[in-house]
Amino acid sequence: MARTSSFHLDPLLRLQDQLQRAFERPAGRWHGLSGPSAFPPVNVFEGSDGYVVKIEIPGLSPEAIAIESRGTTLQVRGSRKAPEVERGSFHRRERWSGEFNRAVELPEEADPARAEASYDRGILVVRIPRRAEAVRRNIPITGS
Amino acid sequence: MSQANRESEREIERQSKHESFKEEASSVEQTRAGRTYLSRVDIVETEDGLLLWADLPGVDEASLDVRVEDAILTIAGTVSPAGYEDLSPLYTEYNVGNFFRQFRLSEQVDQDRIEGRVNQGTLELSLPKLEKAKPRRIQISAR
Repeated sequence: MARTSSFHLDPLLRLQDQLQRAFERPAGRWHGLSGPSAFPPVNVFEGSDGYVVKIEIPGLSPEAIAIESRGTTLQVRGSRKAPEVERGSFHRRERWSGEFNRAVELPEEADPARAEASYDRGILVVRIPRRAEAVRRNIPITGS
Repeated sequence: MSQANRESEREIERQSKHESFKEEASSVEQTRAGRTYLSRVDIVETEDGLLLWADLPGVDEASLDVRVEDAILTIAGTVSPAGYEDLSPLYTEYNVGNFFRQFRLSEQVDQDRIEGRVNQGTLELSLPKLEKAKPRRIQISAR
């Protein structure tokens, strides 16, 4: 079927499949210190240069988010306010609001002291390089 | 708040497949393969109209489609898989997908005056009421 063949061509489908498999892997549920149903949801990736933490946390201003590192723990704190409307009544209230505080334990090789963060389209992205001593290096061999 | 007021918008389709923070849309709503999530919304009614906030993390202005057709408000947003190249997941709490949500608007909403903007993955829509649908204070005079 056409759908089957397009499956591996569509990068979004490939990503969804990859994330789903990580979900189902028991080892994938490792380090989120504050539990998987806490707001905001966190994904941790490994890349060639280090680690990438992505957090879905829409509708804030960057100033409303504080990121801290201690050892290999990354902590993300802030608050999201519920809409404040004078003389209005809620028909639906599904969006999460309140104070949040998530801690993510990173692998030993991570160096959060050199981490960089960006916030775009409501997604917080923290890039954490590997420690210099943890970076894989090729060792040249000299002949005699 | 009267029952009539609560009917200012009604949801078209709702289904339940929960992840921690995201609920997948039903297959009826999907025209393409893969996961599509229901955008979480807050809706407030005031005297002047409805205010709607919809969370669409990963969606920007250009990839957002908001339309009203036959009194049905549709919010659809597509996310890009860019930014995931060469990354392999170690630990995951959410999946990534497009967003969708539909509401049937009541006749009170002035469909020509709906306005919106996106701020960091949250859509803010203002749906004013028609003048005739607004509450009016009747002046009572003493004799």
